[in-house]
Amino acid sequence: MLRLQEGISSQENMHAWFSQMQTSDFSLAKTGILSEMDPKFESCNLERKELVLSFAVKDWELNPEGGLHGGMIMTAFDLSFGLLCHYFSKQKAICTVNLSTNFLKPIPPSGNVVYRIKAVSTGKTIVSMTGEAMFEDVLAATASATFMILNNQLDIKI
Amino acid sequence: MELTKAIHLSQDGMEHWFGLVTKRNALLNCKGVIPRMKPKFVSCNFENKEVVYAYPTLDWELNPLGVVNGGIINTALDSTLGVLCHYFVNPQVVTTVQMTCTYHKPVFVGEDFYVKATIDFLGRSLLVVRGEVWTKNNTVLATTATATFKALRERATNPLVEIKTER
Repeated sequence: MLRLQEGISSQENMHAWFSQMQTSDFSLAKTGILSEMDPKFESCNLERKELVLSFAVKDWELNPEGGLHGGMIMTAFDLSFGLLCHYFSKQKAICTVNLSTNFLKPIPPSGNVVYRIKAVSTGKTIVSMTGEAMFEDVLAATASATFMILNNQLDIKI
Repeated sequence: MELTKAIHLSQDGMEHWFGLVTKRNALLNCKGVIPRMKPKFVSCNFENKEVVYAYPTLDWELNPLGVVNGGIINTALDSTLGVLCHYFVNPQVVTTVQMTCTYHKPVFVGEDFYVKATIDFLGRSLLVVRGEVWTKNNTVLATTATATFKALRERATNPLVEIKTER
């Protein structure tokens, strides 16, 4: 299992770390919301600070109208932003400071939603990111987020 | 299915409507993510266009730090703000156009959090709604949000105001 280490960042390292996401050893995904949402790694690019994940739409994520609940779209954005931010914060804990989402198209109750995330600025404590949610090549939502890198280390090694 | 009677825009009508849509057999609570979050209606105020819901913190909602994931807070906000809009634009349905959340404090497992939604602007098709998330028995402001909703076409079978007939 590849763990994140301070000072070690490369395209190969980034790809290898995110490729582990769906293995049982990936410590971030063992419990809680990440395990429930179960994202799939698609691609990443260190130079452009980009990450692409896909999330399958599940029955429990729907709204009363039968489409994907807006809050679950924001949850997927939050998780995707958080995972990308973790690659830069390494073993330091992070938290969401602000998340803003525009909902452009409804997402039907089956299929996969692809989230393309990009870090536009990675500072020592503040990371700013933007993202797009695509459903069958149609832009369904856009988001921007600010995350904070905290001083404390995570309780688990990631 | 039976449709609820036409709603009345008054404090009594509002309390009656929220009583209906939060029943265990209301369609709002039958499928999807809302029943999974186990929301409880707390209070409403017609004059202030305001409603308060309580949500328990559940294990599946946690992030790796052991606090409620920010997106889950958004889901509670979107649901609560949305249902408040539904009352005021009924029989039209609403959709979320935009939502911005700022997180001030974490919400820890084991404590309920309260979502207070207030309509700041009620137009013919757009509604601007403010949301606040409070924890620790309503003493700590954890998250603030603003959202824009759009009222869509009228629907004879608005899913929020349908009640499943008991068998």
